[in-house]
Amino acid sequence: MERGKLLHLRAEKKKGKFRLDINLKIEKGFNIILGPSGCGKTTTLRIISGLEGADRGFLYCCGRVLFDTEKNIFIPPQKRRVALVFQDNNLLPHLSVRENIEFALKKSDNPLDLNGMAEKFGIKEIMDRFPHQISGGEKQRVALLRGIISNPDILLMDEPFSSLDFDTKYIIMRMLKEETDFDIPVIIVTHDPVEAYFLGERVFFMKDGRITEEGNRETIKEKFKDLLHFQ
Amino acid sequence: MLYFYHFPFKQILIAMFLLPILLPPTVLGFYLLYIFSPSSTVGGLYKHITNKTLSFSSEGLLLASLIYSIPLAFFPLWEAVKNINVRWIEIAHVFGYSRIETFFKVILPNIKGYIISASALVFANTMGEFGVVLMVGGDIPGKTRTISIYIYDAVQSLDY
Repeated sequence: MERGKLLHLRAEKKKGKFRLDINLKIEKGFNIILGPSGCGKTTTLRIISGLEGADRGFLYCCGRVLFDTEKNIFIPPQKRRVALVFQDNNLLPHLSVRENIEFALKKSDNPLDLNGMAEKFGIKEIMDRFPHQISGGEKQRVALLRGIISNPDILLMDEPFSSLDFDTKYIIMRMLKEETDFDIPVIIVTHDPVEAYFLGERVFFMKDGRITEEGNRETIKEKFKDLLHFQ
Repeated sequence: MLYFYHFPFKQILIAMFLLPILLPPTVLGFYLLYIFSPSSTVGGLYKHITNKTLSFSSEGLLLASLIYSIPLAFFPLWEAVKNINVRWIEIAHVFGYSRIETFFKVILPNIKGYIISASALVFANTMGEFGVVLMVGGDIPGKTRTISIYIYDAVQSLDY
């Protein structure tokens, strides 16, 4: 793996007619995978998290081999130290907000102060409520906090803001940028160039199962200038 | 497992689970009596292990009642598992929970209401069951006589 890169994924996978063939080198901080629906973004995250296997390839992260098909190595998701935030249905309905967060803490060794973090994320007042008693934006904040507080080696987010209205999305994205300082690779997949522009330090453009281009905020600005100007 | 995993002949296996509800209880009872008898493989194996017969015993009666009640438990439990979001399971796995831990901490708490209703249905059905119980149990007083058979016997002898 190259110096300075924390995660290197090389994966090939065939799913019916769809073929994923990806080579991704990721650094710490925000990395965005931007592409249209069905291009393989979610499959990529699922392969990194171990929820799906690849037909061929390898994944190295922070000095660990998470899978290598040639060496017949496959570390299960339980042992990968990965946190995953989905678009929705992140919270367990039978647990309160506090219990949902503690659910992730039970298996981690994070000394972070839960109450302090909850205050930072604006969810201190709802800690004793259940998921059906809070809004969509609050649910995503809880899911994000749970992901961060579990002290993962990789934080993965699958379209985490796409079910939120624009204002809520903007508030949470700003909070994520300003209130957190990630020393780990954070990979966010999205189809929304505005989200990618706002969060992205590095951006990977994906199409038909392949990374077609690598860039940064300036690249997005150039590619989607009309849309970003309008927004 | 049956709900989450896809494999060949899954529909046929589901139909097999539901079969007991389609057969008349006495017919099902007859088949079970045949299967439980010491001369059959299942009954013979049970006798070999426990040195007791499965037919005309309270253990056989319990097993037969369970088999007869499977379809009643099947529908509430199927509905329960349908309400489990696969993402909850995946989240548990990603946060380090094994399959067994996930079952007890994620799946079970979310289906316990359905399990209670399935158990109540099975209990009520078993208490009132007649045909299968009579065929497999044989109405032996103090051993395999159930409430429904006791009531039937009392009515038959005009003792009511």
